Amino acid sequence: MTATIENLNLEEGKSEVLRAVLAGIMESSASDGGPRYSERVCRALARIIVCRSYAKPMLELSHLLAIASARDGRYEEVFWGVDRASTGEFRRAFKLFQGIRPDVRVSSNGVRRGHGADVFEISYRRMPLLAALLEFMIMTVGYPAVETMTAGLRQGELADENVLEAARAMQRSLYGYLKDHLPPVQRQRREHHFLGYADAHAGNRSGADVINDDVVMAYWRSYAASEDVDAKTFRSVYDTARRLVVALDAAADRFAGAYARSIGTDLEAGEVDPADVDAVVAAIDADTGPLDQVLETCGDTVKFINVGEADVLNELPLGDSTARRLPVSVLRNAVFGAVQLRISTALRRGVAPVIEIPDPAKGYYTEKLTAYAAIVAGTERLAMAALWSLFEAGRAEAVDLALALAPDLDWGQLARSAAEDADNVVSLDRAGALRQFFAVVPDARGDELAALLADARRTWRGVNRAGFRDGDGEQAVDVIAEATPWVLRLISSVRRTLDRDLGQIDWSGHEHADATSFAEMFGNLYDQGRKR
Amino acid sequence: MAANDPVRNLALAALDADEMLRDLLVPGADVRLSFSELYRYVNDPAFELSPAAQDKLSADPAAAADLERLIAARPFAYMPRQAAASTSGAVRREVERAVLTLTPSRATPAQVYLGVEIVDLENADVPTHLFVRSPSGAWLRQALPAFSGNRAQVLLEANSAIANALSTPESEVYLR
Repeated sequence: MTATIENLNLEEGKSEVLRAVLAGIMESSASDGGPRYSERVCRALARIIVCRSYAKPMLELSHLLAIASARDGRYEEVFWGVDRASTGEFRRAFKLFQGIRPDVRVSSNGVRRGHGADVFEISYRRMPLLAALLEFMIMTVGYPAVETMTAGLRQGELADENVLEAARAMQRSLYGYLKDHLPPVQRQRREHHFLGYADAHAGNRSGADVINDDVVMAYWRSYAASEDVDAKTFRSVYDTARRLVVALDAAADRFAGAYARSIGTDLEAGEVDPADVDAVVAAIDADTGPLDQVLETCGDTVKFINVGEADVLNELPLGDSTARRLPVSVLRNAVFGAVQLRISTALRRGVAPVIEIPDPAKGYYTEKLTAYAAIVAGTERLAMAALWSLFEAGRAEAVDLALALAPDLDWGQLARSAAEDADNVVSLDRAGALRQFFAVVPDARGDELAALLADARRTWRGVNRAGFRDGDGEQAVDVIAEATPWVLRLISSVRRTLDRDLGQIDWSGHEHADATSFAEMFGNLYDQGRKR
Repeated sequence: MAANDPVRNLALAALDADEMLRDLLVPGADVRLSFSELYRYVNDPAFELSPAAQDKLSADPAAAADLERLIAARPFAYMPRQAAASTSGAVRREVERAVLTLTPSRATPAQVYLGVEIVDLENADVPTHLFVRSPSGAWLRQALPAFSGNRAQVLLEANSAIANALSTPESEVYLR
């Protein structure tokens, strides 16, 4: 299935039924009143719908339905037996499937069905999206129709043919629904206009190389006062540039890699493959980095990051492209984007705005960098405290965290065994290594591992945050275990952004020049407006 | 960069799609009742549909069909219209696995006793609630108290919606 980007009519109203279904899914709640599906999952669901890239997820869903039906045919008890569609809740739900039949295996990462080489595995991390997809199917084509299409999966024998037939039937059904309810994609003027401008000033550069800090600033200066495009705020221009560099880099990666492409896609004629579109949109989503996952996993139970810290870190694009390509724009947006937001807010409220340009003598960009570094240092400290929590609870995740926090330690056998954690069958070596690890007595003057654990204990005792207090309970330990990989990714993303992308720039020169440039622009945009 | 550059075309198509999906995720005037809510309503006696959700349900035939399927799927017992018999104010419904009676209270005429007697107690989960579909198609739910032996009994107001529905032989009953 291919589509030309010139096919761009939006059929007004066609999507309202689809919008109502997605809104229903977004508003469905868990028993505590919080959302059953996270915002990230809802976005991923909308992505596979809009990009029509549902073939693979539907196959995964079909396998998962087969596994969830393996006990008594009641897959609903797994999908809706979990209160919140989260990785952790699905992991707990499938613990009950341990050993129920030889062709279903439950591991620490996910569930598998099949024998020998014909094994299909679905990770717990993928299950919230597949649950949302099933909910979407039921809300669009109906529960009775889904029951009919999946009847072959609920009759005891988990045959591959039944799994494939159910997946095909659900795909056909969804295709028919979307044919009636999903309008063609509308061409977005903002990005096309910006890219046209960047191309015109690109010289011999191409791809995402045409977009840099100078182009972002020049575009804003040229079009901020224009009524033809929405470019009044620096933040809106920065967001457009950011989305473009991420999309162009991801698109270049797709063409550089050996990804299977749908037969019949005529690239020369401007056609695009839905799987490629899905991958690039996913890259745009991923540009926020792991912060969302940390917040989503921790909720209010464990405060690796509090609300204020999250607001500050949200200023940093933690994907790979933006800060590398637009480092100065990142901090211009953080500082002057916020100044302009305050001006706009005052105007909306009918209050005369005060244009507050920060003082270059105070090093406002370097102050920002110091604030980011302080937050990530605090998060590293909490990761160290988390090691104590996991160690005390005897959780195997403590080993992985210790390996991440102290990679230079001589871990010997322990490191080799930890890498084998891919199944519920714990090897004798790993079991021995775990016993060895948990037998270590924390001692600041002991060997490296004993000293690391002593450091973790001391850090734990010095922290006073939700999830890091004695008596916070088993649920907090579960959340810490689940969140730790995302926290480690967050730490490394922030460090990489600060050290590689933002740390190599002479900020004092920019601080003086930008204070002048933005003061002039804000004066033109808002003072003149007030005089008129 | 050439206008027919595949990288550029793909990036712009993805941004267009991204904008569309952002737009679709902004709720409009209509919000469908989710299947999750229906599932909780059927399986969690403590969960009540809000009045707004009930309004949505009554205006959404597809959601009503999903609810019917959920209730009808694997009930402890189903009592069709033919299972009901009415004599001198009392209604009795009997199927293989359960007997349901609605008997006026002698002490307080404004109240009725709903009795549920089940068989095969050892081989099944005890039902926790019942659903009644009135002849108009509306669904009503009644939580059941803990069973004492194989019997449970609950006192209802005679003029309550659930008592009225149960006293109508044309209603259908599902024990779950």
